[in-house]
Amino acid sequence: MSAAARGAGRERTRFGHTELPEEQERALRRAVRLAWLTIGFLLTAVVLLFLVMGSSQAMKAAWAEDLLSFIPPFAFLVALRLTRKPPSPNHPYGHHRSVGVGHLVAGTSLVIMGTFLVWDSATGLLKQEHPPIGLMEVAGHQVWSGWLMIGALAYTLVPPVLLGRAKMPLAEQLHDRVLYADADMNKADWMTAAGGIVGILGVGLGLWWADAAAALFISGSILRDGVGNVRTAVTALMDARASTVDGSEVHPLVGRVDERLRALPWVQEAGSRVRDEGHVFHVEAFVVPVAGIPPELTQLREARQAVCDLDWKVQDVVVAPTEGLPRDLLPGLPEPDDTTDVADRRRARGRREPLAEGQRRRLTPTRAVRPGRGGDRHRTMDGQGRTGRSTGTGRRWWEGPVTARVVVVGGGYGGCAVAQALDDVADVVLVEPRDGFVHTVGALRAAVDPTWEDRVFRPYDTLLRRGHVLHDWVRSVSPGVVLLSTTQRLEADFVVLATGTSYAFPAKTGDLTRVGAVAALARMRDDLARCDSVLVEGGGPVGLELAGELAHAFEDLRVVVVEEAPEVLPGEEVEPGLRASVVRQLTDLGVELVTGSPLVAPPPYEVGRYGPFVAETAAGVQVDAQMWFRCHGARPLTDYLDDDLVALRRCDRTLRVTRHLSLVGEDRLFAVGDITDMPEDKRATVAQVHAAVVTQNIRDLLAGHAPTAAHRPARRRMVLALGPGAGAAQVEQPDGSVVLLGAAETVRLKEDDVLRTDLVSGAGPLVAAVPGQARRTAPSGQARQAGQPTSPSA
Amino acid sequence: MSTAKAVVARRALPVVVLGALVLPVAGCGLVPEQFPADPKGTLTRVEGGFLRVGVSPHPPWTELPDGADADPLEPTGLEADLVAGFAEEVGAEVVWEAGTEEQLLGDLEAGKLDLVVGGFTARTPWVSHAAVTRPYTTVPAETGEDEPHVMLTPMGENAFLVALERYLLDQEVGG
Repeated sequence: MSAAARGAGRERTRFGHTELPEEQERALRRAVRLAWLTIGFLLTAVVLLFLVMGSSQAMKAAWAEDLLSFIPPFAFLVALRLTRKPPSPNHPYGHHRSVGVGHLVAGTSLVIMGTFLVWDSATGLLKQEHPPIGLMEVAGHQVWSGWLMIGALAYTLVPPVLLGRAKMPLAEQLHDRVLYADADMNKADWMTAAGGIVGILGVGLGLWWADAAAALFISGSILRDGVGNVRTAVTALMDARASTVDGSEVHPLVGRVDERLRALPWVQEAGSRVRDEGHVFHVEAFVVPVAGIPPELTQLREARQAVCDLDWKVQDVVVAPTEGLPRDLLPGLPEPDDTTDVADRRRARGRREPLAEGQRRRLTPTRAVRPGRGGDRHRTMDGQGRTGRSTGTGRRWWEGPVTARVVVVGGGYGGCAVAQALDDVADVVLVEPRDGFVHTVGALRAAVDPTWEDRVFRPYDTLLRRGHVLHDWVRSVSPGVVLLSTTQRLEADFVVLATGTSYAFPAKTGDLTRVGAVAALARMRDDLARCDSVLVEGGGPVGLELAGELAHAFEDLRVVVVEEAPEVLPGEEVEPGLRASVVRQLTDLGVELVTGSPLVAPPPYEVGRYGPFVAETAAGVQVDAQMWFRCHGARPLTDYLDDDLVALRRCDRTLRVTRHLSLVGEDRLFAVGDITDMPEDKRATVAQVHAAVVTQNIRDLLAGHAPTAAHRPARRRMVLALGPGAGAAQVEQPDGSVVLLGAAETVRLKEDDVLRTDLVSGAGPLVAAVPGQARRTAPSGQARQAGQPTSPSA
Repeated sequence: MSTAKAVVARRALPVVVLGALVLPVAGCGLVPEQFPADPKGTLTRVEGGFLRVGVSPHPPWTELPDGADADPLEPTGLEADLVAGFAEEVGAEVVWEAGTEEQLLGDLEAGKLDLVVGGFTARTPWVSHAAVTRPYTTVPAETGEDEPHVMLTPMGENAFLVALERYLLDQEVGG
């Protein structure tokens, strides 16, 4: 038994630094046993054939073949011994190639011997040599030697076939070509013996040519084996793409490596070179990160690990992030290319890519973003980007115009609308830490009604056709440059800010993932069921809507609203009639309103979590409750603005915008939604109107002329839903007068808002998602929830 | 594994073809009078006919007491006796022809002789021109080494070869 087999028991066998899995280790032990068994058998066969060989050509060929059959098992054993050596400074890749060398040696010897034997038999045939086969004395009996030869050949008929069949699956498991060649030859060995027997019988029948013909046949098969083996061995040594062990097709792992890498969230495209070192593969993988953002070292390590986890054969893996797949290193990528500019190359590929099987899935992202191309940006700034007039980058006129890059910060109503509207004319990147769009209109309803969850949380995956959504925080924004949470940097021709407002749970959930947000809501519903009394801090629209929802959903629940102003819905723009109607409806629902004084201190528990407390207002009113919600103090999220732009931020944190909705003095930096300082209500519908304006203006700039769209503050409107079926609204008419609406109209308006603002998947699926309840619940009058979470203090 | 099967099938093809060629022939000769048989039918021709023997003088194995030109040529010696015995067994009349080894082997290859004797040993250099019989005796040479003695028959005439070998091995020669 070899060292390989003995060593296996103590610790995991290794090929170089690759540790063999259990299954392969077993296969290896068996293969070693079979190799020795083969050698043992061949020894007996060679001796036997030699003794009876006489002067038959066929016997000579059969004997030579058996002699040659020693080489593959020996090559296998020797290669195995070498392969197990760990990589060393002199052999940094390990010694896996020893398999290839062994394979080549075996193949070459077969070729040489085969050629010689073919020559020998053919000349014998041509010269009409008649083989003499006489008598032999065996144990005192006179026997024609032919019979002895046939007997010896018959002995070699069966065992090689059995050995070959046993080795074949092991060769596949171990991915060992030498073993495969050996098994293949063994399996075909019976034909040598059979051919020899036929030849001898022919001679016995007086056909002198039968012997030479059989010899020719045998030596021909040796030669063919040799040629086949040499070809495979040379191909492998020439670093051909890794193929299956029989060399018939591309190894499936090659495709799986690329697939695995592409499946990583930060990878936009991946391509790899995989070569067969013998047993194991060596992988050089190139990955193009999404939006050209360099990956973290940990991400690279994880990518490498992900590939290594695919199979024991891929352990030697290098993952290199690149700007684009290197065409010269990855031949066979669709579309050969003669341009020198990397970005042009990438764009060119994007055009052709649909033709390439397997890469189609990644087509869209490849075109999305070209980071670090300042030149591009300036060109588009001149309004010439789309004309393709610039020749500085070697771009050809037929390659079409360069598309501009737009970075949208924030994936709320306004951000999504802008991103979607520009998706077809620009490379759009939407930066948003959440994993899905939160349909805030209706979020409060979801807080008490689980069937609304699907309507409120939407994944981003269908939002953009070409662009990407990056799940990340924005650290800093300055014109043309957006810095992300880590060291990543996005350059852009246009930046659109749409970060909206912060708001306390539950109007806006704190969790970044849909799963987390849904879980938080579910937990809150459970906690609510245990509460006798709930405190809502803030008597603005959001606080009152939440109070209405709670009072409606939990009949026995005592709901107390604390507002520091003398009355709820403070503010001159609120019609007294609306206020009176709301107060009356809430009182009917049993909601208590404590006005005129703020809480001395916020309750000691997290909002939306169970915890009994007694809160006191400055006026001395005490409220017993087990849960509280903060419904005031929402503020625009604009902290990320670069220091140079700080003058554009008002003290209420909104941003100064022009009527084109660009930041004052910044032509290419826009803002939409709640963070603008437009004197209007903060609503989802308004954000969408903003989005339309910004979209038009960016299109104008792309086309090379001045922005045309201007925003006029929307007419004021306040829609308050107080649970399903109740509420009130005030709507400003075109002439400036204000109309008050009752519960029924409010319900209709609310429905309208929910549908109009659900931009991610449109109205149809939204209603269909809750078929039975759509009609009943949707109208319920969440009304103002829409864009409104921010407006309580208005 | 289907590809492997296909490979086997492809490789098996020549065997099948060869078998198809050989089997009918084997069928015709299913009851062969001789096995192994002679491609040129030497044994059949010799039986009841003439056994043409080339002889090269090599005492004590073969001697030509009357010289190579005598007529009729009557060689003597150990091997001459063995040949005579064999001819008797197969019912043949021996026709002797004397000559140098080269002449005789040329005639043997050309089919003009059936057997060549002349004290050949198993180490004879003529082995590629003639079928060498089993050694019918082994005697020590002058050098002291054992020298197995053989006769030469035409290449591939295996029935004749086997018949001769059987006869020779049955004889108690030398010793």
